[in-house]
Amino acid sequence: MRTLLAVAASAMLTACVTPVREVTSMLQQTPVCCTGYGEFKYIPLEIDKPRSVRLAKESPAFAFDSGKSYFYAARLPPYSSPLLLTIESEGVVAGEDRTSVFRPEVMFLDDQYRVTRRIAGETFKRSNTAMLSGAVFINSDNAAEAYVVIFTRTANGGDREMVKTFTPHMISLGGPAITVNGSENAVSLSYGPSGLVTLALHKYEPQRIAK
Amino acid sequence: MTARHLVALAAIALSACVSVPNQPYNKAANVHVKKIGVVTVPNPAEYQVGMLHHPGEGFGLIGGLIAAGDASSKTKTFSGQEVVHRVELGKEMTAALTEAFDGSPFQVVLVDAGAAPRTEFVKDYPGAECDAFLDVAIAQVGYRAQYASTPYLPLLFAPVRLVDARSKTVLYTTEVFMTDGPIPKGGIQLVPDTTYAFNDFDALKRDPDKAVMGLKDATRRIAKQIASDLK
Repeated sequence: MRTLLAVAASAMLTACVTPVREVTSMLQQTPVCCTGYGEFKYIPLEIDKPRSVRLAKESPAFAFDSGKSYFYAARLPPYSSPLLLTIESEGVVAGEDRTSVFRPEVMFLDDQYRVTRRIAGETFKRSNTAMLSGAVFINSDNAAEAYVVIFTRTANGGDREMVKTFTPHMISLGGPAITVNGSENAVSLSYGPSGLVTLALHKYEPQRIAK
Repeated sequence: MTARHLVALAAIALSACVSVPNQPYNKAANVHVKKIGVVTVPNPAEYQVGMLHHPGEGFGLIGGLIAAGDASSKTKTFSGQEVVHRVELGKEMTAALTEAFDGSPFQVVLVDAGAAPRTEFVKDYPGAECDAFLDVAIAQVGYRAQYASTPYLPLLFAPVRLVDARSKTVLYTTEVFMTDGPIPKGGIQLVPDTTYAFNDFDALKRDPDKAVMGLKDATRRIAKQIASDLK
């Protein structure tokens, strides 16, 4: 019986993932794109057309008041009714020092590029090991908001929390490998400078309960 | 019982690929909601004990049946214990929800929806003096280990929704998952407190008082999460 320890698979994955401190270092070396919010390139965000973006070394960087960060800037449609903006950030689980997630900070701007609202990263909820999600409403009080910028206050990778991951132990009896046991590991999840962020804009339309 | 456990195991295994309905609460759009009717939560029919990745599952139908039989036997043993049998987790959840709104701008009243066990939302809300119904169900509750050699931890899956009493529209919905395992998209994960970790099933059986405390703690933490989402 040939034992296939999934540890090997996880080690292979780990080898492909850049350590958080190296990604942080890359960010520090990346020149800032602009001198102000007015120079950002805003991508139109349409209702019911989610956009996913990988914030990484190819992304624009800016020196926000909270520190340097990669960012994604979107233009909102003109306000006509309440909207729900959902933001999901998917990180990477790849062992100690390589497990990280981009903790989004959300900033709304009016058409003069003045900040109207900021939603702190701490308000995002964790769903699964390295997934953060949050939701923001754009109501009539926020009708003047024309742009949204997603960045992070925690790009230095220093902020972290302990999370539990599992390593399955598998064996092969000649056919496909099967899981016979597993072990748990505690790893630190860093709030890093990069990650996959998905924005989606929907009309706020509460549904009647299904009978 | 065995077939039910097979279905439950399959659902759990697939949970990482599926999603649950999610509607965040828009406080600004619902300023008329001042009085919340907390629908009483009935006690669960049983307390499930199982393993997410049972070694038997990899060995075809026979292995799957062995895994289901093991879960069924542990569930029966655990649920049959005097302390576990006596606990009224529905009442605990109802009380925790009421307490969680202490100090909030909402006025809370209780809405009696009967004591029959249910794992889903109430179908028809009774007439009550409130602006919205807060409906929480206990879909699954008990203890679960991820693998044969990882500890048993409290598990409580609670679908929740806030329904406008007049329009019957869903103002807020999600499912709160107290588990250290994978959860469906759209859910909220709360990681169980390791104070209530049991190295194996024998350890869980030996200390039912502590096991019950772990489940009560889960109700309080879930209630706080729900109140926090609505405040």
